[in-house]
Amino acid sequence: MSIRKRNILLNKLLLRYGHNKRLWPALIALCLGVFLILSSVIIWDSTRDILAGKFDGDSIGSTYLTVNKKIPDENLTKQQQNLFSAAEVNAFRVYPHVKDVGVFVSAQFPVEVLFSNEENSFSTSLFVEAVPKRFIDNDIKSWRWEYGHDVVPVIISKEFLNLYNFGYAPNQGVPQLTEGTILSLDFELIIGRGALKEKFKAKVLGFSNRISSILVPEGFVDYGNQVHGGEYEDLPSRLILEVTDPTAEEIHALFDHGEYETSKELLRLNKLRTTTNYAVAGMALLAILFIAFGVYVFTMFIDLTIVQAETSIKNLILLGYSPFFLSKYLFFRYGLILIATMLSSGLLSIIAQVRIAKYIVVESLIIAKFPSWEVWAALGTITLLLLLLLNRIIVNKVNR
Amino acid sequence: MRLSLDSIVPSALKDRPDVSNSYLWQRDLVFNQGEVILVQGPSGTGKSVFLRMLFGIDKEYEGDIHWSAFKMRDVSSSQLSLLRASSLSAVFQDLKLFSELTVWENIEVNRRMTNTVSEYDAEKWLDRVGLKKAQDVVVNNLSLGEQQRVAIVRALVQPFEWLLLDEPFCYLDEFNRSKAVALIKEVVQLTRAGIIVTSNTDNDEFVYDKKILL
Repeated sequence: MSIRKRNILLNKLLLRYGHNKRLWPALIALCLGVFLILSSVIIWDSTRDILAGKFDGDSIGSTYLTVNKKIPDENLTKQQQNLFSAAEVNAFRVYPHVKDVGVFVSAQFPVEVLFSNEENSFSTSLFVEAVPKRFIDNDIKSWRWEYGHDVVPVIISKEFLNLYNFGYAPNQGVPQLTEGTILSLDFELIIGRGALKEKFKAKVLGFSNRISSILVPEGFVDYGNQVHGGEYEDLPSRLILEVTDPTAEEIHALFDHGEYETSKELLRLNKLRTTTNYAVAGMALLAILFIAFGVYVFTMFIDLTIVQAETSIKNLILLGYSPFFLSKYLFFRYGLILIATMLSSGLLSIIAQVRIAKYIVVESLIIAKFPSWEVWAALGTITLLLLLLLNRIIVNKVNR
Repeated sequence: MRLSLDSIVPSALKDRPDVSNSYLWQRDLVFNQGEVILVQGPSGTGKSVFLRMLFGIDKEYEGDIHWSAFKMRDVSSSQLSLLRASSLSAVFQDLKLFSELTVWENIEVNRRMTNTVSEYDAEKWLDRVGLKKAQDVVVNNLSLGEQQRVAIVRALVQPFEWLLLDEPFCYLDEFNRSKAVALIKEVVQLTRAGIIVTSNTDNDEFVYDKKILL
């Protein structure tokens, strides 16, 4: 009780100028500056996660690149020259920024798909390929096939679905299909030629954003190639590369000057990372300016408050209050205001991230729902630095 | 607590010819706790400066001042605060009150620092100097005489071994002066503290053990 009453008196003497109009602009600028810094970290972090496909296993910027050879006119009839030799595959394995290499195993046998019900049936030829499971952006548990299995699981490219819905279906007057419809369809795959044809039940189990193909398990393609395959050498026509940094110059050089091709769209998306990095840097710069302004006004405010309370401070020291006690007293009060401001910035960041995560999930982009440890580390560091600065200002002023 | 003065003289006064006539400057003196000392001299002879030196405010002087083991020139700010909070109390000529606080708040700022004097005693002393009814009045609205009485009571509501009074009754009339003197004598008698009073003139307000002419 006694200390509380004493503190009320000290507040009257030392903080009586604390309720003026200078404090709020300082705190708002500080809060905004720190929020912008945290937002920069959030954007940088989220972009990194999105590009790496951390939460949905789908990289848009792509740490995965599908590669094929450029087909010059003279090679049109020489299909073997468009395939990757073992030496070429091995060369990719040691290429800078390449983490893993997967080969597309093509079906060397004819494939037909047959949809049928009691009234109608529809069949068409298609192609299937297989890639190692680790390269597929769809974690399907039952992604394997051995002879004797009832159903062949299939993954189709989302691009194909879009092509069908927005190209083929309107043109042919057939109904458009949703992902749900396709997942519910049962159909048959017919492989082989003539009397050796075999029928297998099949089902689409998922869709891929990463790989533009119709994928079946490697076991199915291997079986088909062994039993129904032709005499071609079993060399891959496409590779899938997992790269550590798709924006790296060496990766670009591979496609700009070499004999290989990848989706230009993917490479363009890679530029998103660079662009985002610049945008984040710009935002961080702006944030630093805001913080500098906020810190300047805040320190000016404290400076002015202490100067205005200078006579009171001197008289209190004459009564026996120690400068250390008065510094601590002022630091505690302004420190609390500072920490509350920092917490407000943190709270704004949480709200921003939660809302952004909710908003962009509609666009099939998934980021963490709450700020990462990097954001809290940034907030902690800024708070600590500002508290140290505050302490220094107060101690200097009170002991002057 | 013993006060020892070793040939002290303020830097501003050391070249004045009349310094050698002083019974204070450049002399070795010792005052023991409980003594009542009058430092008397006309304006400009350094009475206030002397109290400011004793209180650790002025450090521009030659010689040394010792409050027992504390050498004033070398004390740290925390030691000085401790000394002021526990052993030295003062009434300054310019009073050094908190003008924006009320009479009672001025008393409380000092009393609550150590809580060695009860709220009851503080109120009673305020009543003794005729300020009970004015205790909620902001100090700025008081006359100088009233402010001086507030400063006196404020100096008494903390523990002290020495009370330094710089012309403490200069704004008081005879009636209020006698009330203030009586209160100081009573409190000092209880605490067995010493008093150093500065004044322009000789007086018999206290029973002085020593009178020092500047």
